[in-house]
Amino acid sequence: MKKLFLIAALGVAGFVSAKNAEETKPTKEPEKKEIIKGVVAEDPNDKMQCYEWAMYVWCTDQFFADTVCWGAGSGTATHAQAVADEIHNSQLLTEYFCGSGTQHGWGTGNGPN
Amino acid sequence: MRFYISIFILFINILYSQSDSLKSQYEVIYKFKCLDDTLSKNIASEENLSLLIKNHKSLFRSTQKAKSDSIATTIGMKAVNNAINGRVVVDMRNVPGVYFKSEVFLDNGKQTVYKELMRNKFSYPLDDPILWKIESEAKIIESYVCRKATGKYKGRHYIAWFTKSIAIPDGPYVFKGLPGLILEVYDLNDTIHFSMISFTKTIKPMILMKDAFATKYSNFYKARKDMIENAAGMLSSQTGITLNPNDIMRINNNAKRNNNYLD
Repeated sequence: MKKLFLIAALGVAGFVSAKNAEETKPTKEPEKKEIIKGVVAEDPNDKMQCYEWAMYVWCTDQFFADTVCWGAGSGTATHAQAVADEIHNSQLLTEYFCGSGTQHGWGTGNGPN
Repeated sequence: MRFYISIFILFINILYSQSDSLKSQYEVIYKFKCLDDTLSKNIASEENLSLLIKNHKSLFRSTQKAKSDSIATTIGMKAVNNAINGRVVVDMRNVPGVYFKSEVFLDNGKQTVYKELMRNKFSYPLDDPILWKIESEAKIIESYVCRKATGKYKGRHYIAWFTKSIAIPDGPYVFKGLPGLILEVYDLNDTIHFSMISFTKTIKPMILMKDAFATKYSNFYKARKDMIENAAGMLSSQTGITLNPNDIMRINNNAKRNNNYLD
């Protein structure tokens, strides 16, 4: 009984330790894709919804239109994820067209590193 | 029986204490100054960077990035809440710029460098840490007596000033491994310059960049080279936005202006 208890203790300890080690490893891209697919598949009844998204690029005075969708069949699981993706897209467009943010455009003294 | 229960509790306590998120003991803030275009000596980016230290581990990254992402999220969410007929209009001009997107994690002498290229994140081990030569020169920085050291990294020669008064063999970015904290380091042409602003006891979470693709430096280097050659193509493919020829030319020209990458 005592031996069993000790083995159980070591087993739990090893499991916790392994879980912790897994969390600190850099994630590899293929694994990430599998996880995203898994999340989408968990909500098969979630209907696809979309926004029309217009990204304004201040230094060229242009709007770039995009459609942002989430839910079943969209490839993006949640509204929050879709919005986060589009915010990132807007940041990238601004950065690569103008430099980063107001008064940080190309030729103003600051560009992206 | 009590003995075995004690062992069990001890194991669980030790392992759960290890699984707590890593938190710093000290924080060093450095001012980073970089000439993005070495041909235009007047164009310099400045940003404050943070080195969080806990025993033999440290994390070096921008202090600006979290603020910038937070402001971008606020602007984006406000735009979503103010959508008219399902149309969201977003303008990121007021988001503060982030110039230093690299991060370095030191774990018991081994350094891992994290980099961002648009949406792609990379991590690679530092295979060629700097071999420093300690010189005889000394100077005072912020009341600390500092010694000079010189070293070469990725083809560039650097001068570092470290102090034995803070016996932490760490410093900004990959500039580590001297017998004391590096308070200042710069390349010979002074196109890249780190200088310490503050050193404090600070408890902050040390969270690594997420979703980074673990690779080698050579693969990252090639990806960056490809990006510089065709920044507009990469931007278009990553965002799904169609760009006209003028946009493509502007983006590609902008990307090529930056010729002072810190590897």
